[in-house]
Amino acid sequence: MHPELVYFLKQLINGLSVGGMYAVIAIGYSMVYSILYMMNFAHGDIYIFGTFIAMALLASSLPPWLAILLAAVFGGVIAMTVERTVYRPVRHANRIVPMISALGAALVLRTVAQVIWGPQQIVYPSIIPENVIQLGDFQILSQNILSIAVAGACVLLFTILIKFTKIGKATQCVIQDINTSSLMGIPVNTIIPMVYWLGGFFGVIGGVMISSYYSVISIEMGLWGTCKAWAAAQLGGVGSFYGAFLGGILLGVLETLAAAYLGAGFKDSIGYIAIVLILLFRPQGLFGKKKAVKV
Amino acid sequence: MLLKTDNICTNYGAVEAIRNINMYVEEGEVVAFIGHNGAGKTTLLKTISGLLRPVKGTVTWMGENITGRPPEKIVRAGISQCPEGRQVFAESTVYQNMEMGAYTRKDKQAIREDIEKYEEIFPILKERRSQKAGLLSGGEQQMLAIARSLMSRPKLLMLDEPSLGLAPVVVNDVYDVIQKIKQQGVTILLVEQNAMKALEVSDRAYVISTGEIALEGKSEELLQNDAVKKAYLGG
Repeated sequence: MHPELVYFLKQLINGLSVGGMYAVIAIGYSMVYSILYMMNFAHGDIYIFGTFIAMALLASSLPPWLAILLAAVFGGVIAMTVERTVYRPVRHANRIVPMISALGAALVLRTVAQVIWGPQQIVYPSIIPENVIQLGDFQILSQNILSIAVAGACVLLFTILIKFTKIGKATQCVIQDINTSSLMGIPVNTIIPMVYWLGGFFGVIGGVMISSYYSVISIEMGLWGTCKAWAAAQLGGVGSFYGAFLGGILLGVLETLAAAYLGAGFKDSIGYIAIVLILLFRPQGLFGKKKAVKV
Repeated sequence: MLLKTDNICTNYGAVEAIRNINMYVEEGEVVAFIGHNGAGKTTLLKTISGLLRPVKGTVTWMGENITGRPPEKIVRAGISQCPEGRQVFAESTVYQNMEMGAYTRKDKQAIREDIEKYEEIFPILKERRSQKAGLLSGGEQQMLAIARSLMSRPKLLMLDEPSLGLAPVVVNDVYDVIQKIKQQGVTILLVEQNAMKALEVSDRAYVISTGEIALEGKSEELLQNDAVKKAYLGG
């Protein structure tokens, strides 16, 4: 194979695995957004808290998958608690109010995390041994395969949940119209916390993947993750789950290719450049649907 | 007595929307609330269905005080509200909309049979089964909204302005359907600006004006009442 092509494919696979991790974070963020149209600024700080917990559990004698699962469940509980204590009391207020509440919740979580784990960067354990898999001329890292597989599994799990279960179908209705859903007998105040729970759950899984991929964790990665999730959701179309998922993958691929071909400085800016360009021509995002505004 | 309210007062935001509403519905009756836009009709329905909490008064359902219960519990108790402006789930299919109406039920087989039953009453719903509900016309959406509300097998169906925004010929279709539902023995509480239609289909009616009940009586008598004729029936 031509060395240029090998290099490109390698970068593409890197991009897909980074993108897969963004996608997992973004899907939770997008769900929470679409149910209450609220920017969840605490999303990143919630999942990084859970990712720290996963780190503690990974150091114990638990099998890694169980450690991550437990941390993800706990991340969901944090998200649910934030919804119950910080967002619900201001749900009917002007939409700026929940946004500020979210910032407040983010700061509280970040401060607590800082007290427990400190402000410095910590080496994050890898969850699988680093192997190089040889495919002809081509090498793939086991980490890459893992993150693509986890992203695939998450989107599959999510699809089964939302499309085929009764509660998932009800969630789709709550997303469309909260009041009418409650007139159908749908327990709205059970569904909304559940959506937050899922946001935290998927967030922690994405967070653990990212931290173990880069071998690092710090409290700063919370806000960083919120920005990535936001960018992914904007690219794909706010409020569209699969849009957010594909947006995450696209963001990862764009960043990796930009770093490889345009220089490392472009890595973090390329996503925003793409957002500006896409919003200019498709305000609803790449995969989003136009929303009719009621007057 | 199926439903009774005592001295219900409900605020809508800072505005006192209804004051001291005393009304009742007997089993098998069709009761109408007529009044102009903003008179408080929707507020009354929302107070009964639990979307709004009254500041004063009680709602009694089959002898039990249900004031302030959340909407999902009220649906389970047997009251189903078909909201103003239809509010079908536009992104879901017609069939999924009907399924959601049966959210409180667990009897899958019977749910399917009920859907088939309503598809017979409203043939358009069968034709458009797998289409997105948002693509239906206004009248079709109203039929879907009514069928969806019936899917919970309510003892009391509350219809909020079923004629709103529909062409006169479509309004007739909708009222034909309401007549059919009435014949099946469902108790109906109907709220309407279209006083003529509402009085024609109902047994009893209340006239509500600026949040208070101004008049009540048998519908056929209200149709002959001069004040009602003047204010609501166009002379």
